[in-house]
Amino acid sequence: MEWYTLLKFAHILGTVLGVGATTLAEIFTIKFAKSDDLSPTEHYILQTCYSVIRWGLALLIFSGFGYLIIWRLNMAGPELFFNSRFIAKITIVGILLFFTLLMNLKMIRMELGSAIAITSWYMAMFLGIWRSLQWSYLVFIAFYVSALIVIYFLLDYLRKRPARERT
Amino acid sequence: MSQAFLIALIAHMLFGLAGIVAFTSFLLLLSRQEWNDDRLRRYAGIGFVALIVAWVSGGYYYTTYYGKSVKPIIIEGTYPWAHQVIMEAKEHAFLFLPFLALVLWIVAWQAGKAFEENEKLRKAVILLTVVTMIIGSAMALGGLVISGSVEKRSLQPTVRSYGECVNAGYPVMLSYPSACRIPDGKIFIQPVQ
Repeated sequence: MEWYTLLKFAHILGTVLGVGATTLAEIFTIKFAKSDDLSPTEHYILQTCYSVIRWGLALLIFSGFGYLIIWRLNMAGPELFFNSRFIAKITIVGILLFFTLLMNLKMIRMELGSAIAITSWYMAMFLGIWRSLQWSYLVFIAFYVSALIVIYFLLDYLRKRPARERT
Repeated sequence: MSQAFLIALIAHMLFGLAGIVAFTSFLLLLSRQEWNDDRLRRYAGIGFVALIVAWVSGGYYYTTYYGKSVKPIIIEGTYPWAHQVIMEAKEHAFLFLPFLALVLWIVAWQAGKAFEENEKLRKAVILLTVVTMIIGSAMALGGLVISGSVEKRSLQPTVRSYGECVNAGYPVMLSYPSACRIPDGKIFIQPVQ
């Protein structure tokens, strides 16, 4: 198998694991919010999702670096490296890593962290798939921030909904 | 690029990344209330070794290949500041990393249970780890910008005339007057005396 194919496979697998496990973690968090405390089983399910997210993230980053190595060896130059879509993707993955670290260090609220995580994973996937999209960097980031705000309030609404139903 | 330079460049990038990942794991473990001394030592050791390999391979590539083969391409390209600002900064900041990593490894090796009892020490080591990670991440980002500034077209010799085109070895057409064609499609006609 060619290096490029192997990297592509790893990159797609990393994205699939990351996006899938982040989505599931969010769905389970909303479902489990119905009770005040997490049961050991619920805790175990969420830990499993977080573990899959970590593996997905590691695969995504190492395969992403592999791409960079191939681009550098082929001297792909500014056309690929300084492309607005690529820089936006790097920025979003950087934000995802930074806030994942802050969440692990318990330095930000989980509600904000999970909204950033799910928006970043979907946005990175969207940028990876839609290669013909040629917006400027600022438009990509403005779209990301807008999506983040919408998702934050949407998740907040979904989390609070069972509590309102209980009363 | 020879096989040795190729391996040096790939090792520099991958081991640099591995070093950052190892110290991130070290930081996460250290920030928890219940930690494992063996794992702390292992992560710091892996981080130190990875950064040493990245340092040696990057240093070898930089001193023997980059200066004479890559630097001129960047300087003549669209983004000369990638060398003049970023690489010049990177080559100095880069020197700190193995020493910071060595300090962290020694502290992880020596401190052991002291982290549990001495909160001041734990916070100081966390701060030093964060500094190491910030420098490491800045190195990676700098490397990304430098790699992006290496343009293929800059490798082609500058051709402005028929004579320069022929001397550069580009194909000459059997026509009268003779013509020489460069890869981007431009054709230079032989001046007729």
